Amino acid sequence: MDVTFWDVTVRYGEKAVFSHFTHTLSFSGVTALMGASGVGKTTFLRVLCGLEKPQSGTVEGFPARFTYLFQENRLLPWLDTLQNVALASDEAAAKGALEAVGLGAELRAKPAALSGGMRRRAALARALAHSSEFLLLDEPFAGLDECLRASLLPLLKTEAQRRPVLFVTHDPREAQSLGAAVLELHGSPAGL
Amino acid sequence: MISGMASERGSRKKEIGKKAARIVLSACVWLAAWQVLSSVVGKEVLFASPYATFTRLFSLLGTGDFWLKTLRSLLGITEGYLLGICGGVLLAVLTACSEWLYAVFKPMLTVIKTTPVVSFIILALVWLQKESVPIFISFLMVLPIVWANLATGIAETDPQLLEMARVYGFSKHKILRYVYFPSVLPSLLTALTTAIGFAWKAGIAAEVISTPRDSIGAQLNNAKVYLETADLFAWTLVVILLSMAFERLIVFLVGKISAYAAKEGA
Repeated sequence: MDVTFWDVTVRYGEKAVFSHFTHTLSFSGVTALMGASGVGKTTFLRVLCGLEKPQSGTVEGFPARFTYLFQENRLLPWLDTLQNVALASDEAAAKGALEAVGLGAELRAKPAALSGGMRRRAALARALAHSSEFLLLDEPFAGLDECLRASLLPLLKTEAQRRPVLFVTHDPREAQSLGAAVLELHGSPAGL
Repeated sequence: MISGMASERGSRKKEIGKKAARIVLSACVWLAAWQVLSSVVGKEVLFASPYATFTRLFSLLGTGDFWLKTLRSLLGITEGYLLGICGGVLLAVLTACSEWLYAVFKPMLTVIKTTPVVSFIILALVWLQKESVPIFISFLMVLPIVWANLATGIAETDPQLLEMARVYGFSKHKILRYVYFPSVLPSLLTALTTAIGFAWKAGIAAEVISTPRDSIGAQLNNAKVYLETADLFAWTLVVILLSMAFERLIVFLVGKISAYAAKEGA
């Protein structure tokens, strides 16, 4: 899947995160988006999928139906884990995804009763269960220990057989272990 | 385990007993203060004693007329209260959907909030039949409270959750049911309980001025005209008790709604 950024400029106040950014990117399988903190990785994802409109320029070729795992978990606090995931898919898919991330025993727990890592996995399960043409994951394993990361990484590889996966990470080993293509943002304004 | 349950029941009974004792003590203190004050004044026509008030109240309770008047006032104020809730919810939704509508209706909210209620009562007397005045006034007092609370609740709905709902393709119904409704529920419930007191106070004031037939307000007005202070006190007591009972009922219903929403996950 080819996506083109045409002359994209994004500013926050005085700071230009992207300035006349023009690139055509080819996505297939798993792609890792890397770069220093604050370089603009989240902005890149949000502009790519249209959640954020750039001050100028356009993005072409990105599908309308996509899935986005936000940096924040954004679980509905009044729903239990299963309801949270099932709202984005259906109950069978939700159960499957929750079992895949190791939350099969926490289906009826509300987010407040889960640990930070469990909440992250519940949000990841919701993204995995949601059917779409592109999967965007903003630091999907933030707050998870090494062991859990290692057990969840293969899920992205499985997902990549269905749709392109672009995930933000700070850990080059994650990209390596998945054999992922790497996009690295650097500089200010950011470039590839 | 059984002994544990029995001791739990025992401590609950003790707690209820303590609470009842506190209520009785508080009531005794205030009744004594009332009695002392009326004795100091020394004239029933200026300040009715508890004895005269309760004697009058009990004699009223035995008449069919009392129940008819109480029921009519209760129904009128309840009608105004419910209409105010409906109007407030409708306006909150409309003004949340459109900044233009908000700009149009906002001055109305300010006017209702700042205008003395008696001005509205007099205007309503000119516009409406006197039986409808208390309904209209209760409606007018409840509407801005529900509207303001609900509008705040809608405005404070987490934009991150709304963005998530859009990305994950929630239908409009799901967004309303699972994002907006639980977010605004606390503000709405606060509004419902706050509005009761206003509906009663303003509704009875409207009845006193408009004196619709068979109403508590008309009886209060009669008591004033004929200097029947014990009647005035007795009917005021009825209003206080009704308002408290109504508030208890709403708090009970609100509790049920909250429990149901929590159980259903919204």
